[in-house]
Amino acid sequence: MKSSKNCVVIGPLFAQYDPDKLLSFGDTIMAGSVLQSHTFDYGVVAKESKLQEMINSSAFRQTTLLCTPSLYKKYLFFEQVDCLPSLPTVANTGKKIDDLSEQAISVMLSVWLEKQNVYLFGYDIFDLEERSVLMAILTVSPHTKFFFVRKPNPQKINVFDSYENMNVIDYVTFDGILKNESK
Amino acid sequence: MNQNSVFFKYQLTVRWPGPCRNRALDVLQERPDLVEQMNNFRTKLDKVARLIFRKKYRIDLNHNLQGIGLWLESGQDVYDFIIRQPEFNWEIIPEVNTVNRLTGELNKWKIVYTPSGVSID
Repeated sequence: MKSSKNCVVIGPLFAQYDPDKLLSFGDTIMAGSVLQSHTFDYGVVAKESKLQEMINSSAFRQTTLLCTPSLYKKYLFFEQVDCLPSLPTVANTGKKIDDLSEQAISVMLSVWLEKQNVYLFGYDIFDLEERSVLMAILTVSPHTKFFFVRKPNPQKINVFDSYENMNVIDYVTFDGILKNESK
Repeated sequence: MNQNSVFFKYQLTVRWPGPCRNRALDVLQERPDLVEQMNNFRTKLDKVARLIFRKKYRIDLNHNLQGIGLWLESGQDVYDFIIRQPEFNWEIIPEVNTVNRLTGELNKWKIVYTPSGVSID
């Protein structure tokens, strides 16, 4: 059964993890249209071409597609499309919502949903701009615990060491969390 | 079908016929001719809606001075209804309200008529 305190954000990078396990774990937010094989709770879209593709794809019929207000005005007559709520975290990034990536908006949405634990799968932190936006979100969301989930790798990620609310874990550790949650 | 399971996301207001607009309830009590005209208008709207809408709709029973509130499930039905106004000789208030599935908020959007169709401001 889904836990209301957990949220999974699926980023644009390929994650070698079974999506079925994620669906039963908590609310799922997909950034863009990366996975068409499963039905997620929310799909965050910031690009018009991608939104058109998702509206026309039968894979997203049961997914609530959330887009920026400027995009929503163009696609208001499609009932599976909804407008993103006003996200206060945007102001802390120094950017406008239209300039942010889908993965960054997805994380902000999970904070807005007041989730206790947010698990990031396939999240792109190689892009330095993306990384700085994520760090800005971490700074202003001290009450949310974030987990950057990746495949087992002996190389450590140290960039988040100064953030108490961010943990880097691998799929094996996440499997343990899943097991504990299902007990 | 059970109407409770339907999510009415869109709301429009169809203006009353000219003489019936902005009439207070005590005025309407003295003018049965206007009440009859309003009832006929509501019946006509219901019949046409039944014919043209592909998905569920609901007509507001509450009295509104400006017009009849219409709730719709489908965005495509809303678009059709807006562009087919001249065909049925009715007029809507150029606004569409939408209920956000995530937040539950009712948001108001302004309808802008363009030569090629309808857009939202």
